[in-house]
Amino acid sequence: MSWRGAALVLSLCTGCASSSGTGTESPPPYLRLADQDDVPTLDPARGYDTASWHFEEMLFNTLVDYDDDSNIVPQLATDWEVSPDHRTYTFHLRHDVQFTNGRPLVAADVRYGIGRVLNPHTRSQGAEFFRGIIGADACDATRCDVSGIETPDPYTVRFVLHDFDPLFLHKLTMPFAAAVPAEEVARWGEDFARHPVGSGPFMLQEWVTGQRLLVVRNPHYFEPNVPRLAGVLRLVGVNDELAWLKYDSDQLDVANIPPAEFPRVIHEPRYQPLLHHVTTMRTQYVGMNCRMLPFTDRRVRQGLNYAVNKRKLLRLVNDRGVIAKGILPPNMPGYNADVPGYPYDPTRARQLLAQAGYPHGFATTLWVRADETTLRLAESVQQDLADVNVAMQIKAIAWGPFLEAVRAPDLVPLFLLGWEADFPDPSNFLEVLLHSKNIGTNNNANYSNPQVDALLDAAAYTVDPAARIALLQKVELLAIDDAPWIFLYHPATYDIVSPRVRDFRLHPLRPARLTRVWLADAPTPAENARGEQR
Amino acid sequence: MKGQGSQRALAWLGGAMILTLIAVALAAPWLSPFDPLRAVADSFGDPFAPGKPYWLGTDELGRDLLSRLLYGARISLLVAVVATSLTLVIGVTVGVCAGYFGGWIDTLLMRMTDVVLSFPALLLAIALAALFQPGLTSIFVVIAVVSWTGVARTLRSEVLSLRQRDFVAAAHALGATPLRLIVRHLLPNVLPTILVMGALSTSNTVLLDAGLSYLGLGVPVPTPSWGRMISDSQTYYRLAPWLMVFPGLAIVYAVVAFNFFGYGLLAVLGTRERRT
Repeated sequence: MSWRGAALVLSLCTGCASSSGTGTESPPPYLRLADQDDVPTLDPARGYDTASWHFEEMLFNTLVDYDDDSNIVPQLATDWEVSPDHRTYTFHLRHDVQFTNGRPLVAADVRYGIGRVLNPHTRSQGAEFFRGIIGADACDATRCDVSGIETPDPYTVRFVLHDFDPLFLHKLTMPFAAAVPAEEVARWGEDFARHPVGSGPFMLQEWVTGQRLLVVRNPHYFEPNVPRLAGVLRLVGVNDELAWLKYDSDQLDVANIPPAEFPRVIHEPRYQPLLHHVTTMRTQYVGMNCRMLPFTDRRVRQGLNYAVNKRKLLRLVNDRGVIAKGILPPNMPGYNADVPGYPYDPTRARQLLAQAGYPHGFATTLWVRADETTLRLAESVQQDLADVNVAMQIKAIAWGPFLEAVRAPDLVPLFLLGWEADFPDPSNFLEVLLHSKNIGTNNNANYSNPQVDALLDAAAYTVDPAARIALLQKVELLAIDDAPWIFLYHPATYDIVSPRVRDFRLHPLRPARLTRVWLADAPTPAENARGEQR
Repeated sequence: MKGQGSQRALAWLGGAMILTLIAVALAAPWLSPFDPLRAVADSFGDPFAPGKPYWLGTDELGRDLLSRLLYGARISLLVAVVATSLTLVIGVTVGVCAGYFGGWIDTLLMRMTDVVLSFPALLLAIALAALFQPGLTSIFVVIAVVSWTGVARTLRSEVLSLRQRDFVAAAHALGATPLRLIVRHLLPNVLPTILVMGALSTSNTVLLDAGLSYLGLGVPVPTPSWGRMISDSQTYYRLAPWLMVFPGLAIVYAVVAFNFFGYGLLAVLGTRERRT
């Protein structure tokens, strides 16, 4: 899923404050979150970042979903059949689902949602995931009738694929595959992102740009007594440090722990029951623009990998993670613990730079998201590179402009970024971030190696899982040797919740799910119902 | 007489404090126990408290705080001197021209001064600093642009009264050009005012520089500057309060030094003027 702000260890973006602010009032019945930046979008065809997905998952449903242990389970579908050749998937839908505008959800809505993602007019980054469906390429800007998505009756959807796709079910869990009501998109057009209508457990109540976002319980949600929260309130313009202060004064329900507070929090007994921790599949890296001098030279890129002290970076985030030797995070299938990686070795770095023709180093600029922890990491990298005579400036900007800048072809020489897996498969790192066809979208290092491309293409259609993983491991080794990134570390996710929060769980693949969370001092729907009976 | 003596002592004290600061800044490479830019301690993410051999502690990037403070004095002083000089050049030119020429030139210059004065100084400085690439030069310019108005107003009123004096009329009658008159006759007479204004606005400059650096608009990292050191350490205020306290004290010291000197000078020079 997505772009992660460099360093930070947030899975739940941070919180939000009670708008009332005075300490004497009882806290609102909403789960309060906060974050520095606004949610980029609520349109499931558009969002491809953690913050957007967090809320899109509350507003929309997909055919299938991950349970807490990352197994694929039904959501809109009750069950499904896969043909023996693994090219046809038939899903049977629930009959009791309706959109929050009151209209029942039918198979055509699933078809429309995915067709919309495939429509070039939508400019969705999710289109690449559904190209394997027959007729996917027949979309043009005016209409998108994907022949490979059939709806034989209102409660049956059938997908017909060109080839075997081992990841097809995983792809259907992404918000890109959400069921979307066509009439609402027609009504709002481009503004659908601000007026999203879905079938999810929550519905949008209020979104004031740059200030707050409030979603409230969908009373007609198909699962009984879910969600248990009255709503989720997300305040914007609150950095991690401020969020922590707000958390500590009972104005937030979920927060990240800033590095400066972590050593204290981890040792204080009263915080222990409130801490949540999960190992996610993430990699933090410094991307090097392989099209810009001097990073066109592999020796320069390797040299910088030897120059950066990754142990020190990890210490700066309180050892919340493990050092990255390559691209794939541990616990990802195909993770190779034996890759040589680039140990900290400034002498070797100087040698490589000298061989590349830079015995006296060079000057360059690292672009980062402007937040305290990221800046700290950037300064540490700056120190290390100064030791090998590379004079690196730091350019810190806001998250949105930063993502736009790194996608521009020849603007950003170095950038500090992270990636988290959308689904537990190495291709979600290797293909999405390093295949040359993704230059301009997610291959921001502009890395291109025909051998890597060929292996990735071969892996995409390899049926035997072991052979497939073997191909992808070869890709990783090639890419590590080419070193389009400085491989930094694989962060672990820590969150802390307020004492009134119950049943909060972090998810290894997705932003924290909030449907089952409840607050000890606010009534849940079941309690409401009991109250009415009395 | 007693009051005058204490004012004189204040000027001496301020002067001595400033000289110490200059000496420290110049001798920073010899006084600093460590390299201010490099990690010298293994204190990543967990700053060391003050103690041997890091007398003021280390920061979360393993750098020695004392060394960074000493080198930070160089930036602060450099900004103080250059930005204040620029401030004086602009302020004196505007003030003297307005006072001497009068008429529409005076009106134009003073309305311009009013316009600049009507903006809150820090807000204007932030807006200007955002326009330029961060760096020393832009700090100099930004501070000068927002600080010259006080000097201009004071100088104008001084020159207005001097212009009526006999020696100006005499020089004028002897055919002195305006430039000669201003440089040879007016400026020497307003020099005490310029000195006092200079000393007092230096303390403002130090504060403004710290403020801009605190907001991330000063010299880029990793060059140590006091304001930046405070802003960098604020997230660590609970874990490592010394990271914030020592740069804060350094700023207080510099501001107090220039204020003592300025007010002492004002009293001493003012008295001398009354005596003549």
